[in-house]
Amino acid sequence: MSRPEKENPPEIYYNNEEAKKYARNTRIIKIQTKMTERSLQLLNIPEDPPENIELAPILEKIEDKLSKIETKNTTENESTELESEGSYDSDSPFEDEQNSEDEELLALEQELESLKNRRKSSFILDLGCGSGLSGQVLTQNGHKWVGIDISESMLDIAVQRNTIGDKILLDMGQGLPFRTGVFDGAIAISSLQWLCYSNKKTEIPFKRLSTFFSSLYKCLSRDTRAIFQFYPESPDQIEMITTAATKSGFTGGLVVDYPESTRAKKFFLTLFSSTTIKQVPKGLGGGENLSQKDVVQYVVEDKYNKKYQNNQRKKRNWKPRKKSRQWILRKKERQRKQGHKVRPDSKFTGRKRKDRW
Amino acid sequence: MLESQVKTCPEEKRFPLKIVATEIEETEIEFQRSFIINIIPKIDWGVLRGALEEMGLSEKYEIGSKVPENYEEDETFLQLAHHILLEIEIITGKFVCRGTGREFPIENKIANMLLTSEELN
Repeated sequence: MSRPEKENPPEIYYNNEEAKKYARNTRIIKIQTKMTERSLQLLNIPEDPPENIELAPILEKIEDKLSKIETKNTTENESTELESEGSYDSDSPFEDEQNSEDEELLALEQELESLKNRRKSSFILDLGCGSGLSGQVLTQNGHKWVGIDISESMLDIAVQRNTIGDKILLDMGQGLPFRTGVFDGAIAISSLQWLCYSNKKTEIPFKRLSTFFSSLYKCLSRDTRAIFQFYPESPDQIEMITTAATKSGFTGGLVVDYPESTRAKKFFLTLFSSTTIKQVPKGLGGGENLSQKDVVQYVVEDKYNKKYQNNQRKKRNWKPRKKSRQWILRKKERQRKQGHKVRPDSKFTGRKRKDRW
Repeated sequence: MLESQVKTCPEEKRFPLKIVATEIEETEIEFQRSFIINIIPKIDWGVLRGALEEMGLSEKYEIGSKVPENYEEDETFLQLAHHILLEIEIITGKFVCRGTGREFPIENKIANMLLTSEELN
């Protein structure tokens, strides 16, 4: 399956048509929801102490239900004694009512449990929020969020679906326009890989990644995390990403869930913005924290990636090689900006010359 | 909490962005005490007041120039803060950078903060 990020930049790929299809596809919704919930888990937001949660209304409802069920039980016992002679009608409306009351009680108790286990309501940055699928999961878990995305069509759909979170049209690679320490955490579902490709001549992906990570580090408060679920193409790409992240001050690692399964395998880049070294969480399904080497092994095993085989040399190839055409074009651009007289670019710029010696 | 990313803009003038709101909507959002209590220390209260003025809401919502002490227990204050911070949305308008005058339009509740390549370098 070809990678969408190789076809077009995200603001073009996710046009109105594609955005509508994306938001309606139940399979995608299911997967994205699951990945968001797992990311929330990895975010490890501290628990909300019970006195902060309004338990009173739920407790009242539960008491109500219990008393109703008790009275029903006593009256039912009386009536079944009378009916024991005749046939027992199992479809009696009486029993149905009893069952639905029980169900409602069960639902209320579950709600109480989940409230008790609730995490502190936090302010989260949703990077690449798209049509708001991930944002809705955040809202359901009681968090407030700000979503950014580069595709206007996707954000329009998020507004249409009445998602509760501010949306901003923004290019992550340009840097994030937020004040220092505003957010309690950040998540990015299936968006990081888009930053690794650049369709403009003058911008190289590594620089965009560095700008992004340093601005992210700035706007996260101390001791918080950023979780990136993404689809890495090659070990080189992973290395490029982690180098950019570490340069900006993050620590952390890659969590892999279900490394043995091709379908269920998911990568979560877990970054900590804290000065103390923290243990990266274990992946699900027997996955462990992987060192760079192990990651290499897994990616090769299921993809037989030709690109990996070609990139076996440990060169850093995310910067354009010196004297290559890319490098020459960038240098000319720099010189123009500095005001020097530069020849216009053409198809002959940086062409391979005939080997004379 | 947005600050201007335009590179030519001097550091002191980046925050806050000036708000020009042509259409505002007030919605209803579930009140969560712990969230409000947490986020108030991060907010520059003077700036928030200025923002309300710019949006023409300073008479409707009177807030003092400082956060009251023991605000965690002041229920009316928390409710007011909740309303101002979460329940007021700008549908159309713009953000203006005070340092360079660059305008970032807001349409359909979405703020467009994309920068051109010149503004980045």
